[in-house]
Amino acid sequence: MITNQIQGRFEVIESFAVAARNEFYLIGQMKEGEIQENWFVHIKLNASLDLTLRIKAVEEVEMASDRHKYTLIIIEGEKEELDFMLGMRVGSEMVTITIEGED
Amino acid sequence: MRCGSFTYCLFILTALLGCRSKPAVNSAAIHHYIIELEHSSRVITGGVGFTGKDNPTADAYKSLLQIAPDSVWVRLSHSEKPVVRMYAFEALYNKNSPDLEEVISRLKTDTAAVCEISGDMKTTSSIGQIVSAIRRKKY
Repeated sequence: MITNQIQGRFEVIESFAVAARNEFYLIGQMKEGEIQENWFVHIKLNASLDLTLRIKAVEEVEMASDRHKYTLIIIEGEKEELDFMLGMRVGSEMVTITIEGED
Repeated sequence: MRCGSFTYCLFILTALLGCRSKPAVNSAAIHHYIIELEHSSRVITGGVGFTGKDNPTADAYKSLLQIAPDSVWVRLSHSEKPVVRMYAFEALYNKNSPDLEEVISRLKTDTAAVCEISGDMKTTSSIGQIVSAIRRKKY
C-alpha cells in the first residue's frame, strides 16, 4: 500500500476547539475514501503548502435537527497549535486524508 | 514505437507525481514558531546588529509569515503576550492585510511596552505609540 497517497476526502463544515481538553475538532462528512485513527488530515495553508495533523480519534455525530450523520475528527494539540488552528477558521472546505504524514 | 514508449513513461511519471501529497508543514513546527515568538522579550523583525546577524525569533517570525493566513495573525493580535501582539501587527502591516484597520483600532490604545530591534536600531515604546506612528507614516 502506498501510504502517502490520498486515502479520502473530508468536507469540513465547521471547526472548533476545547482548550481544557487540548483538542481541536473538525466536523463534517466523508465525501470519498476512508479515514482512521492515527492517519493524517491535510489542511490547505496556501496554494503550495498543507498543514498536516495526526488524527487522534474519529467519532460519528448525530444532530438533533438533522437526520444526516456527521463525522468528528479529533486532533490533539498544545495551546499554541489550537490557537493557530482556530485562527485558520477551517470551515466549508475540503481536506484530504493520508496514512502517512508528520507530527 | 519510441513515441509510444515516451508517452507511456510520461503517463507513469504524471500518475506518480499526482499521487504524491503537497509539501506540508506539521503541527510541531507551528508550535515551535509560536513558542519562539512568545518567549521572546523583544520584537526582532530583521537581522540583529550592524552585521545583520540572523536571529531564531526573527527566523520563526519569517517562517510563520510565509504560512499563516491573516486570520491567524488577527487571532495572535489578541495574545496575552505584548510581543506576540506586536508581531501580529507587523505581519498584518507587511501583508497589507484588509484586517489591518481593525487591529490598528484595537492596538492603538494598547499601553504595553515592547522593545523593537531592527538592524542596529533599538526602540522601546508602547504598542499603541508604535502602531499610531506607523499608521501616520502609512496614510
